[in-house]
Amino acid sequence: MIEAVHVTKRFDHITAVDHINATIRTGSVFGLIGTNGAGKSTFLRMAAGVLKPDEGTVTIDGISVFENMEAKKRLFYISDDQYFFSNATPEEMMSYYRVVYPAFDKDRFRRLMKDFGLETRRKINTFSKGMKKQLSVLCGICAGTDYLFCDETFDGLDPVMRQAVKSIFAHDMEERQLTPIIASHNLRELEDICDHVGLLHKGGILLSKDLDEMKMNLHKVQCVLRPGMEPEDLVGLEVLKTERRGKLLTLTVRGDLNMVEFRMQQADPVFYETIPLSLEEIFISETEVVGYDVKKLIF
Amino acid sequence: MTSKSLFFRLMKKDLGNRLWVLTLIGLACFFAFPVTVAMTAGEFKMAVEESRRILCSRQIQEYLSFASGMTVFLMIAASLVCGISSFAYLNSRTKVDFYHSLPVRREMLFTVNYLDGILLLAVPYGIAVAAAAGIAAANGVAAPGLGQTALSAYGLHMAYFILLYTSVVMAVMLTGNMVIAILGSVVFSALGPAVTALIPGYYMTFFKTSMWETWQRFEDIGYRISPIGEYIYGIQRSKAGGMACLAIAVLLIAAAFAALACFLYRKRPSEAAGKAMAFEVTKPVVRIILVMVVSLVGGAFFWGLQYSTGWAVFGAVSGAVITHCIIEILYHFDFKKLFSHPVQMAGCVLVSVGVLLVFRYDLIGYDEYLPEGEKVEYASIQISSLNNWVTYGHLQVREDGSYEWVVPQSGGTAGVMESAIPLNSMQYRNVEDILRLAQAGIENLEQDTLPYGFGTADICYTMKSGRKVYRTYLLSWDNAAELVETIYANEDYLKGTYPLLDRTADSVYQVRYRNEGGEEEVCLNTLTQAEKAELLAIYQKEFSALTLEEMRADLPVGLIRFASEMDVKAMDWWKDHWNDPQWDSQEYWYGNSSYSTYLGSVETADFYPVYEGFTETIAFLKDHGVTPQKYFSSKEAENIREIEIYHYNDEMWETGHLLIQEPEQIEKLLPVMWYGNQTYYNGLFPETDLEIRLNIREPDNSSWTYQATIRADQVPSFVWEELGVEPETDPAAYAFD
Repeated sequence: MIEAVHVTKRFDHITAVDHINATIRTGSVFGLIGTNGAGKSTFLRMAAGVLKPDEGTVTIDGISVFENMEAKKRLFYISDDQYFFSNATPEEMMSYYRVVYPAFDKDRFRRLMKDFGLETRRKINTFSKGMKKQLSVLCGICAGTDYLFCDETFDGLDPVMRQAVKSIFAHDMEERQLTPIIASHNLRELEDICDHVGLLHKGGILLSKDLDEMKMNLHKVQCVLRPGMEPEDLVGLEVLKTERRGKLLTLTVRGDLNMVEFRMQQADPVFYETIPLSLEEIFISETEVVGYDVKKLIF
Repeated sequence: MTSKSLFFRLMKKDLGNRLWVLTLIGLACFFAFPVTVAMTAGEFKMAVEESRRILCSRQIQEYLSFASGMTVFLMIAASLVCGISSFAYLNSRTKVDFYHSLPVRREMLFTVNYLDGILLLAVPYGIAVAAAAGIAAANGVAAPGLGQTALSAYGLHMAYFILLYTSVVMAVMLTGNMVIAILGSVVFSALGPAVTALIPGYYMTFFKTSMWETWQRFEDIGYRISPIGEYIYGIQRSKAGGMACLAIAVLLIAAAFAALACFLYRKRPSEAAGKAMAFEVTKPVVRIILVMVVSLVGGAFFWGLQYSTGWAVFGAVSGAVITHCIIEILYHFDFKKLFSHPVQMAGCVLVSVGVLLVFRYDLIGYDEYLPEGEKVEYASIQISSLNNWVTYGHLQVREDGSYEWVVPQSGGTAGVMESAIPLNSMQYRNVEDILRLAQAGIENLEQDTLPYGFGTADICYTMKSGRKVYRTYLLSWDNAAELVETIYANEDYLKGTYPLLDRTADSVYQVRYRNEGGEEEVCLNTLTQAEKAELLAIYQKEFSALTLEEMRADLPVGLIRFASEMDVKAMDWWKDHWNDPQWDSQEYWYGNSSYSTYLGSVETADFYPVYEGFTETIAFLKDHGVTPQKYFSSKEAENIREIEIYHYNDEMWETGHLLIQEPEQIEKLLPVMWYGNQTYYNGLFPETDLEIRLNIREPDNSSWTYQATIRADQVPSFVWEELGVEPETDPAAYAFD
């Protein structure tokens, strides 16, 4: 488990991360969402032991990360602009990583490189941006660490590669309890992979919740009410948001699904159905409650 | 994997990533050593003359020696390349993220890169030197101890390289940008010497009584604060031996610097990558120091141009402002930030202008300083007009069989000035004499030159606390003659100034005499040891009794030397070797002291004047076949074809030219003329400013031109009349009782 307690980082007069508290459980995918300059990369760099927090601590299973080799051996950090040695090939990078990560699986690396269509003996400086991203992800996966920090890694991947990486993550999570921490400014990218999501804004966490928990308690109900009925007449439902298109109402409702359906049946509408909320819709609803117009923040 | 195996594997990986450095240094070493030696060895092999072969052999020895300038340049360049490349990643955010996210301790990262930087030079340099020595040997260049020379030079150069390299590494640790790191390295090397030169420079520029000797030790130490300064110091004193200890000391200092650099690396924030300075706290420190130094240099520079307080202040202010702005631009990489921290800039300006004004107006009373007599243990004094001809030190044999001057009283400092010799060795106990003379000098402070005087008097007070205080004054005849006479008659002064007066007869091996203007010496080889002792005693007595008035009246009629056995051996050796190219180099012409050592210097050194008033000395010489006489009295008048006299004004423009060919006029001049060079042995002789040349035709039709001089008040009136100029001085000024 990675735990950040009152973590703060300042650069000159700018507070990039402001007293963040976060808990990242082992075996789950943690998504770190935020606009540019929200503090995602800074937080990840502190978690990876690159930056020293000005206040607070970042620990892995109780061990402070900064300049602690025992903690650092358990993580692999993929920067948003990953560095590769000049004129090096993937094979040479692998060779270097094997020195510092003794558990690096070179056979798996070569296999995955072949699966992804990347040549191991080609100069990395001839790779496209997306290919470099793929390479850095494969290096991270094959390093055999418990935690994998990905800073906007998915941004440069095409949809097919994105799915491929997600499936590898899922496999390693199941096999060896890999815990990916993925920072991105794109909610839609993380929608089907993250278990837990944290929203960063101006150095602080606005929201940090389990996706399932959020989905369990938030529902979208599309319905057509009987003539003369208004949404306010729906008893027993906590309606967070109402959208109307003619007679069609789209309600965002908080509460248990069974309870919601029961209440809807009680209201005897002409028609109703519950449909899943996207991550984006969940975020909007949750943050509007606390007063933020999150559309401005993340779209 | 153990830490040790990780360490060596990381070293191997790092070296693999820096092959370009290895290639660059390898190429440089290849051309600097094996190629250069091969070319010279080829010349050696083809040379027919032995002297040429010796020269080639010496050249190869020099290439591989510690004193090789080429190697020094290579070491300095390599330290910069290796130092910057070892930690270049610290200047890039992406690279810092990469390296600092790895499970490798910073100390290990530092050590790996640091040691690799040393290996990148040590290996190719060692191979190149070994190859060069092998090439030399294969070509039959049997320079004595070539292998030993190469090996010891390798060790010494590597020690200094490590020092230089570590200083560059420290600069990288303190900065976050490559250009700034290079500038930082330059600052590390230059700041110490700059400050070392600045402080005494200000004293010497603004205080008329300041002496270089005050700062001798300060400068000796100050220049060594710089890594390059220490390197040059090591080369300069390498001849003295003991380099192993010095190299070990250098390595220990480098190790301490390396430990400091590692500490800085541990403390250095990763976010410093790309910034000018890695540690915020160093910014004002570096800025203030550099601004102050440049400001003071600017003030002194403009003072030197215009000798005006206004211009000096302008120089200080502009130096401060420009430097401050440049540094702020470099700190922020933003031109618009040039006036950041205006309060600090204003403060620096005020302080530097304040310092300038303190020196300009001597607000600390430096020039008028006189110590309290009871606090002075003893004093020493050197009066330029009275001893600027004296030879100090002695000859000794070197390891290679040649002879060189050494001056023990200089304290081993190379390039010591002659004025330091009596100042270091004399103990004048009657301090009041010196204090009164100093007071007379203080009265002359407002004058830059004096019409007639003693030149400068350099004084050293040795206080009872052990501290030495140095001052120099201009002395005029008018207010100092009696005081100088008193000092000149004092035994402490005489024995401290003229080493001959302290010699004993057993040190005299040979007596040599030279008449005024004569180029030939007479060796009094028939003298017995008793006679030498007698002559020495006579001369010491008569020289000690010489008065200032006698010196004002006449020049010496001849020169005498009481040579030691070492002197004679040295002169004989140099006569045999003066034309040998093996000994024709700066090493022998300039040596390690302020005295050059070659045939001419050995033959003409250590002569003392013989005046007409030395009646007993002259009588003794005559009894032993030597006739001391004035140069021009020995020449027949008809041999002198003509005398040319030139007159110049204060701006050194020729304003008069006189050609004297009439025998009657020549006869009037001869009795008052002296051989021009003889004034070297008498700084008090009031010679005329006229330039006098004698064109002499010998009976065999050979001709010569001599420079002559006349005492100012003895210039015949017809000379002034025919030149059409006023007599240069009032003859009454030189009236003698």
